[in-house]
Amino acid sequence: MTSSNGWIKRGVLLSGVLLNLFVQPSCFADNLRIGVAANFRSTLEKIATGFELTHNVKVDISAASTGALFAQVKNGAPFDIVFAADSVRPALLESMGHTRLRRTYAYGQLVFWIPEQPADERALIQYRGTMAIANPRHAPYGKAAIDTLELMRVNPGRLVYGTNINQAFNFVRTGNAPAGLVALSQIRYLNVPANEFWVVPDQSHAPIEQQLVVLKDASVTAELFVAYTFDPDTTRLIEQSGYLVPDADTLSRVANGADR
Amino acid sequence: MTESDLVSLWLTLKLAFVTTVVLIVLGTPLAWWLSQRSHARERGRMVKLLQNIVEPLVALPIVLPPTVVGFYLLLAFSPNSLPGELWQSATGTTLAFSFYGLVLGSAIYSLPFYVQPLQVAFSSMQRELIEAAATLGASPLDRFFSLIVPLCRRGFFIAICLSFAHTVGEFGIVLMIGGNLPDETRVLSIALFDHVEALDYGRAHVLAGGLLVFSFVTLFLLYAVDRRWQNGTRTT
Repeated sequence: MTSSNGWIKRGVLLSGVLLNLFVQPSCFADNLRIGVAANFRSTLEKIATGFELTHNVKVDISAASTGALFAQVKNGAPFDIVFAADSVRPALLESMGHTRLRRTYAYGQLVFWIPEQPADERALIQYRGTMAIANPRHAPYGKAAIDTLELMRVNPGRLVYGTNINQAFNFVRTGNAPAGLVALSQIRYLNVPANEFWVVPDQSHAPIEQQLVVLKDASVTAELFVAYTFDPDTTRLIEQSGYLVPDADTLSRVANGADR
Repeated sequence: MTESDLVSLWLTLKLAFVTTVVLIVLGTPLAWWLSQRSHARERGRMVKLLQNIVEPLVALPIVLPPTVVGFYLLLAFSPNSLPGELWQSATGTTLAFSFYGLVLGSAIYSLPFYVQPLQVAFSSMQRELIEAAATLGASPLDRFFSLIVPLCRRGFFIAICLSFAHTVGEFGIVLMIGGNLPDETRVLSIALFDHVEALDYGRAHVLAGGLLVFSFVTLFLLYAVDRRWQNGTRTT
């Protein structure tokens, strides 16, 4: 048994060394911690890269569903900013006193995607197969999808729900669902050919308003990041990624600090 | 509990039951085959090599994140891949978003929880008894059901309880291949996740608390019965 004791001692020693490695403080004095809804992650990563270069601040991004982010913030997760996929839960966080700033940063665009087939309004209305959408109970894109199906009187054979819009997208991408109502940002991200998707008109569903909140105890760098997000160059990037951005009037009011 | 939660409860029990039956049918011969390695010296080297490969394969789901299994299943179930295409041409449906897809995923995920306790039981059995029965003319099937099953009842009991309970507790694979269909793939763990995401903590508490109590009671009974049987074997 002495040899096994030796191993245990060595193991304890080794884990002590490893632990030391992990708790070393980072060389950046002021990390910015951002929680982001799954659909905006790739866009936010691009924004964060630009911000890191110009401001010498490291940005840590963790992606989760808006519901999970909400629960984490409510229970004291140390985020500085949360980019949510809707406006309901940011408003809720605000009413609970967790935030010091709330603002709309983008509007999501819903897209009918049917790989390897021409997509247009008629193709959507006549579609009868399995269709993947985000879960309408808690995902904003899912609610918009249900609105659209009802308004346009579409009767798909079967609706399957992704936990979020990324999972709905993956169901179509892997071929398990032949079509789906997904986000334009995903279509852009994967360079889907233009004839395979059709952007659903905005008026067929309630706007997919995506808001950010700066949390109460956030570092002062958080406001810098928000300002950077509403910089014209950045809003152009957000538009190119497949979102609509708040119009110029709103933005100038934001710049002048007129709203809230 | 609301009606939709009751539907999820029923579906979960059905999934765990069917998965356990599948594992009893397929896992028992597998556990037996794996338990034969130490006894048969005359076995060919190829068989031993095969056993050395299959044993860690069976144990893989213990260490693999369920997302790995879920990801590969999602790709395999797609009609764009060979297995998915074969299934679709045979049944006209897809395995993803279906109850049978979940059974397949759960059987893979709970396989070690069935096979390992049983393999241990088979290996530690007194082989002289079985050899004696064989010399007395008992057929292999007769030997299995009237000798081996009673001798290894403890192993069977643990294996069945663990694979049933483990399937009830499954989440990651179902999340990735299920598609959240009521009465088809929305099991309790998924319904719970839904409630949390929708900020309905009241309903989440009912399911989470229920699953906690169920798991504790299952393990409590498992240990209690096991203690009793252990004592029983000592006195006889």
